[in-house]
Amino acid sequence: MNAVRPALLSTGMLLIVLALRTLARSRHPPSASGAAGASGQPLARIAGVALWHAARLARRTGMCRHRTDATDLWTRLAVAPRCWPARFVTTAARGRAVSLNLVDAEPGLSGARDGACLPRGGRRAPNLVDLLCGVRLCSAFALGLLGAACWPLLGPPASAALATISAAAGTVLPDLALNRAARSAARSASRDVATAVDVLAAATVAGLGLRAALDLAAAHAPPPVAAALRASAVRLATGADPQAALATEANRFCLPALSDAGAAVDRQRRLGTALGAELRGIATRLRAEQRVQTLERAARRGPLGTLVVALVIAPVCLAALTACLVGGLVESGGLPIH
Amino acid sequence: MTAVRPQQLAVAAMLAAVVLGGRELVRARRAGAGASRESPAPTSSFPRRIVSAIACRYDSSSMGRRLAATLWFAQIDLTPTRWRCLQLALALPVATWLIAFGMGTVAAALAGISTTRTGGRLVLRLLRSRARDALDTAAPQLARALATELAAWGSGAQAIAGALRRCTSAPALARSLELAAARVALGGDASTSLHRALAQVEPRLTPTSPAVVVAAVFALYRHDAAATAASLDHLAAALEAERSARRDAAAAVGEVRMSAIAVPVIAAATGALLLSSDQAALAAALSFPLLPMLAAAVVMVVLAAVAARRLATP
Repeated sequence: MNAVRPALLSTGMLLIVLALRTLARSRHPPSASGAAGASGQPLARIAGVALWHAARLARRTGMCRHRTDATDLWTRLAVAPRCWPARFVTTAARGRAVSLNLVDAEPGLSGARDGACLPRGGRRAPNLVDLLCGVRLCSAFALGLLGAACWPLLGPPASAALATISAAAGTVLPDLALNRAARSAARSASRDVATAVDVLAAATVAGLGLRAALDLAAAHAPPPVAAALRASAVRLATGADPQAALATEANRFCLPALSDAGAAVDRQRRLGTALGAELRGIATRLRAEQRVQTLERAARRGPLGTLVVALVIAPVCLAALTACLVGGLVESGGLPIH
Repeated sequence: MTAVRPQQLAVAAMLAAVVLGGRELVRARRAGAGASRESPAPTSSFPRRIVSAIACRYDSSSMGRRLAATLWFAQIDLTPTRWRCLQLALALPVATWLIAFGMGTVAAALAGISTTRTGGRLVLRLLRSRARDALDTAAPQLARALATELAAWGSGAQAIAGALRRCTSAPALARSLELAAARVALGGDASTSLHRALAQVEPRLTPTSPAVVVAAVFALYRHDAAATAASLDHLAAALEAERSARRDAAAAVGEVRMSAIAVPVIAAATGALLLSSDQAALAAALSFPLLPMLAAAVVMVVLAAVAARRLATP
């Protein structure tokens, strides 16, 4: 009887979980790839609603707001769209009214009235900065709760202190993750920019305009490079000089290869040189540099791995084997220990 | 008459599962890709008709279709029903083993089913990622084949047909090209057909994947075929150069990566030999002072091996 009860309970739980999963799946049919959309999952919807309300609270009270949010948040989100704070921001923004006006985060810098150009219902809608503040607030709340949950183990004063420290850490955690992901993406961007320049060259050689070529290259580039190419295309669409547009975005996203591409565009305009050949040359040079860097990194890191094997793995294995041998001798009485 | 032991039962169940699974795989291979995906043929026997009706019902349900899509992406030529039967056949010996080790019947059945489900998912994911890698590896070959036809003033349809003849190394790529050729034959746009076919064969291909980039550059042939052929040639050379650089770097750190795995494995084999031959050492290893030490050593070695391999990743 004792064994039947847990078995029945576990079977019932399993059936309930399966039923809930089936309900969720039938309500939101999967995409062509077979994976359900993020907004279709109940957990994602709940998280989205919670983050949305947290963002509105942060907007009203001004909590968890940093001075530099309005200036570099776009860049960080564009460069690292797959890190968890960016995903939470996307989850909160999906299907809801979001203000695209970032400048109103800094009232002193804004020339326009808040919400002047917003769609219906967007007057009090949070913007991306508010959504990130909401993520910070939720993270602080979750970590604070985790710290407070240690009350039975640590007692009231210690758990209160732990909850406070955890909540404070929770406000910083999303920024740390976002900055780390942005740095990592910027490092990997230099590896992937050569293919983007190749696609740009193919598109210009085939006769596409620079803006269309930038759009095509952005569609097949990793997020950091794609963000820079899209931003350049937007600058071109607003009538900016191509070289200046590419150079500005190259500086902003730390992609010097785009400056070279801008210079090639400028040379084509002034001197009539073949843009495709110049861009291919740039891509070839980038690949050669990348190859040298990869081999240098491999040559530098190989000995480090050897050090780990020689200093940690081999001694620990040897010690474990020796301990087994000595233990066997002691157990059989061959090595008397008093 | 001696009673049947649970271990004997487990061995028998394992053997039965292996025989049934092997038979099923051989049948599926003989039937070929197209025939195996069709629903079972109606038979005169009443129980068989019921079984085939249930199988057809499951195959045409939403769950069955989802599983069929997953099997298609992983390039496994089995119907969803047969895949589930194979999983059940493997779950049976696992559950029997667990019962033999003293687990309750319901818990063992649940554990067996979840183990085979998880294992099946992992196998599907592995096969799918292998198919994706093969597609990316064959991208330079695809680019060269398309460029050759375009450089000879061939049309987009002719380029796809030529690539279909030449690119036979990766089954996923051959499938994509077959689909693209079929689209073109049905009147579809040749420039976008390859891109769409790749997305249909492997929806998880990222836009930065080499095969997708080749398809995107190929789509430019409608503007200028000769220039696109030259671009495809250049792209193929660039992709090959990138792969060659990656291989050189991997060769430079391959020894370290291998030793990070080989040293612990040799030590573990030596330890297993020692413990199996010396009962006293085994008893000592399972007793208090040594057991936590060995556990800590295992954790430390695993972490160090992972760290060494990560450090030696070019």
